[in-house]
Amino acid sequence: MRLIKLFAIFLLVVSCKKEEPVTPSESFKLNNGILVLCEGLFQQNNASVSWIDLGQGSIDNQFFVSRTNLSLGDTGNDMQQYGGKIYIVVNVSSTIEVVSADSFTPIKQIQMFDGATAKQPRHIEFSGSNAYVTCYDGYVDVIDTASLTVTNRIAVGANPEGMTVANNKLYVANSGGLNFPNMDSTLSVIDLSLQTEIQKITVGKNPGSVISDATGDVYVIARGDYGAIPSRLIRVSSVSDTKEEEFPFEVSSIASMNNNFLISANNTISLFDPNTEQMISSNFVNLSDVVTMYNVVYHSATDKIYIMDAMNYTNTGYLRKYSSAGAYISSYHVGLNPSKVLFYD
Amino acid sequence: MCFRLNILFLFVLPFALNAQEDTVQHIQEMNVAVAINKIQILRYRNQNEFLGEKDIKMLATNDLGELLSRFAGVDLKSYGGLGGLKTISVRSLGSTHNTTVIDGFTESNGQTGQSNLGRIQTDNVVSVARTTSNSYAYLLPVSSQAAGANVALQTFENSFYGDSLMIRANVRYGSFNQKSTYLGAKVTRGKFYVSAFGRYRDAEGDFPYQFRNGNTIQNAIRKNNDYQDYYFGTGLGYHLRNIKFRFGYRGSASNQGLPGAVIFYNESADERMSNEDHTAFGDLTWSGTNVNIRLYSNANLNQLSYDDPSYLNSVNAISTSYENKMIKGGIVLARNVGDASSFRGGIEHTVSSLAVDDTSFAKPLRNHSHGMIGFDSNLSWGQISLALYGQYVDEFNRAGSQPDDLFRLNPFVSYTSRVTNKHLVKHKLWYRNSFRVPSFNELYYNNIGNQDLLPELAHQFNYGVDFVPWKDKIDLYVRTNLFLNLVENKILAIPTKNLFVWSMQNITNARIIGGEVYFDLEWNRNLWQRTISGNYTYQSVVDITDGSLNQGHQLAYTPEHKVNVDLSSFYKGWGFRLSNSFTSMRYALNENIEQNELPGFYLLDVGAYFMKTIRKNEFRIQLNVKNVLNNNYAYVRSYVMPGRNYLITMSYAFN
Repeated sequence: MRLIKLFAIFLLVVSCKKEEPVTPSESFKLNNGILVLCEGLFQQNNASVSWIDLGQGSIDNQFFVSRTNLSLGDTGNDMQQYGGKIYIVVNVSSTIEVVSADSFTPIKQIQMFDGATAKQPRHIEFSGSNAYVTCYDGYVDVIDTASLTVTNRIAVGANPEGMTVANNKLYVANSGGLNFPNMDSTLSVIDLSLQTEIQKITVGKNPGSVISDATGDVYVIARGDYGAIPSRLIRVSSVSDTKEEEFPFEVSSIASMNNNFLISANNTISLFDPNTEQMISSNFVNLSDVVTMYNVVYHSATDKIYIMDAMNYTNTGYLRKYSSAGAYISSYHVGLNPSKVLFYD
Repeated sequence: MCFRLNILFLFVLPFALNAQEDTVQHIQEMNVAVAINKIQILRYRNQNEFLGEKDIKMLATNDLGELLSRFAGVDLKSYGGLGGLKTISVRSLGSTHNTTVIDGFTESNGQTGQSNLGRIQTDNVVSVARTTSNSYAYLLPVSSQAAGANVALQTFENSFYGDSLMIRANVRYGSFNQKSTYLGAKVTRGKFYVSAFGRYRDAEGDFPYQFRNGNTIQNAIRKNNDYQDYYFGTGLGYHLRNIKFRFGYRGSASNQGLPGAVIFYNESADERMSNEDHTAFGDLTWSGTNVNIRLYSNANLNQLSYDDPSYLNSVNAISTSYENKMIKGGIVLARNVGDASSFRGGIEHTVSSLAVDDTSFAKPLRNHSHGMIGFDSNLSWGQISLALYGQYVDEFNRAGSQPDDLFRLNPFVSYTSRVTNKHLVKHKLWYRNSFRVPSFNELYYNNIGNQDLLPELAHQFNYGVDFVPWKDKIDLYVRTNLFLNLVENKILAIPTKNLFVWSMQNITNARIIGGEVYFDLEWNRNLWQRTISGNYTYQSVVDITDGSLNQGHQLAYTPEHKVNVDLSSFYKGWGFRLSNSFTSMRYALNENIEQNELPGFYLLDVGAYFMKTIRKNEFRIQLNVKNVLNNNYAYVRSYVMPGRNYLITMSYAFN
């Protein structure tokens, strides 16, 4: 019996291991580095933020936990800086985490619920004193950036995704993704003065990302049905609010690079000139080191291209750095499914 | 995109020698070896993972899944507590390689390819055994013999043993406001028996739990966990000379909330699932001097409905119904050839279909034929067993394309040494080749399904030694096994275009190297009886896929170490049992990094009963405290399990 008691005590001790929360350093300042939002995986509660400290040469892949003692939640979908704050949109947790842009100190968690139903926020854009958040329940929520409260809900189409501001209007892609295979095909136009939808423009099946160029034209990615209907890039005039052009090539993500666009599709990146509407280079970046191209951004201050590599989506990913000519430079090992970056120069 | 569909996919998509007489009967009824004395029971128990009626009562598990987690080599995946989806994986082969056999009839579900063990009750189960080799199982259905592993249950109602009238009844009340009542009776008159049983269970199900959020421990209540179910059936058996007939029906209906994964900061959960299941079965067993033949058939109708009243599509809801139908028939026989050898063979055919009220879904119908021939010979130096299984699968989709027909041959070979000395030392060596076909969900489910999937193959090698170091005053049985399993073309769902566009793929080859040690120590003194039984399993389950990012990593949800130790003590009408189980750290994803670690856990359960027998009436009251130390744990990441909980059972038996 003595052995049995010892065994029970051993297991008791083993099972009672506890850790104390760490007190984040108050003097910490974000400087000379890159914040990377890593989406994580659905139902794993493992969205994360990586901090690449270029000065120290170190990477903290649990940076959100380090600074807040809390997890970011489930499926981090967007991260933007506006003024002195960083806004992180967490889709499945249905929250927006607001932290200070200089020290990453938590300011507020905005809970995005309509009664007991999660609104499932997806993307965030800013104009004036407001933040605009697409919510999968068919609305764009207006958040006052001073009080950090939701002040208005603007009805749009089904399951809105990306947005852009052009000509004092907000263009919202209505994906209708949860009606698969009968997805939406429209782009909602919201008048920012009236804060109401004034028009829907039919663009193409399953619209997702939206971007505008220097001339005020709006570009939408219609993602198709991931099968027979291919993805397409659509140009919309923000003056006439009409569909102007459908480009005959596939596209999965788009990013501005000076006055051009970096367009990715099928694990290649092309350089597209929106002024001439011509492809400058169809294989602009050497992606031989990239397993799964998940997003691309151009950082003008350092004149570098950064590619987020999701690997096989279930393994932690990489942020890969390229020259503006598309030559590989180096990689940073970050969290699971990196999708957004913020630069600190 | 439509990530909630993944939830839907997940769900539609687990001793005592003073009971010697019962144990012998149950073993016979399971169509295993004819065990008629203590030594033969020892041998049987040493060959198979086995729990008898006394153990099952003491453990007071909610369902078969919890019960099977006591076995060596069995990993349970539980998506919640009471009523939640439960599947098991035997030696890390994956749940779909495993078959569940109830009273000699195979449970199967073409849609998911696996049984939800959370729906199989244990009130009426008198024995359960897990086996991976063919020994002692020659009259089981051919499909279960051909499977990578199987679990065989024997219920009280569908067996010939017992006196003229037997009654079993119990009432339970426990934490989370769970209530259940069960009544079963069997009348045996000369050559026939007739039986019936019914069970009702419900629970509010909400339970408190603690969880780690970053560096912070938080408390919450698990909601939408309510459960209500009915389980009922009847059986009829007739015994004419050396022929036995059995017919029966089993039905169940349930309605439950689906609490889903715990999502940080988001407690919304309102999805529901309801199930109706009807099974009719019958068999004829003829036992001659030199030949045993069994004809069997069973048919199953399963209706499942899933509802999400707050889904963010255009109608703000999902409501989908699935109807699975299956009919199976077969014959198995074993014939002695000379004094020391026997031949066995069998054929089986199964037709299964799926209908979904979503018109975009396939309408598959599958013909699956099994054939088997085998030969066993007792030689002076041991027993040789050979078997060859053939399977042909013909698939037809009335709503579109379907995969090609499939034909496979799978051999099995084993050698078991003769018992060499008084310690009953026996060496076992066997190899099994098996495969499992993709389920309807894996082939057709919306854009996740993939009709180009190959069957998942498994090669199993096993070497074991059984021995009984002590017997008489103190009995000690020891069983050890070393095994190597190689799995090819493992079927997994992975994101292929983005995080919300998943697809089923044959992506992984795995190598499983493991060992099991099982022991059962029992000693009796005066009126005291004490037992210590336990098992330890080690498994290295490694991705060996060429070019894989995780080559050499332990696969997700496969603990390296698992320990069960049970201490029992009985004195007159009193009984006490301490159940300990430990599961080591696992990874929630295949990449072996700290962020994917799911902590190991230790569980301590305690049970005590008092039993009074007055003539043929047995009254019993039992208290179980589960997770006594109130530890926080989860089998699956984000699916928390209950803390300390209580269960009181009052039962009555008439023998």
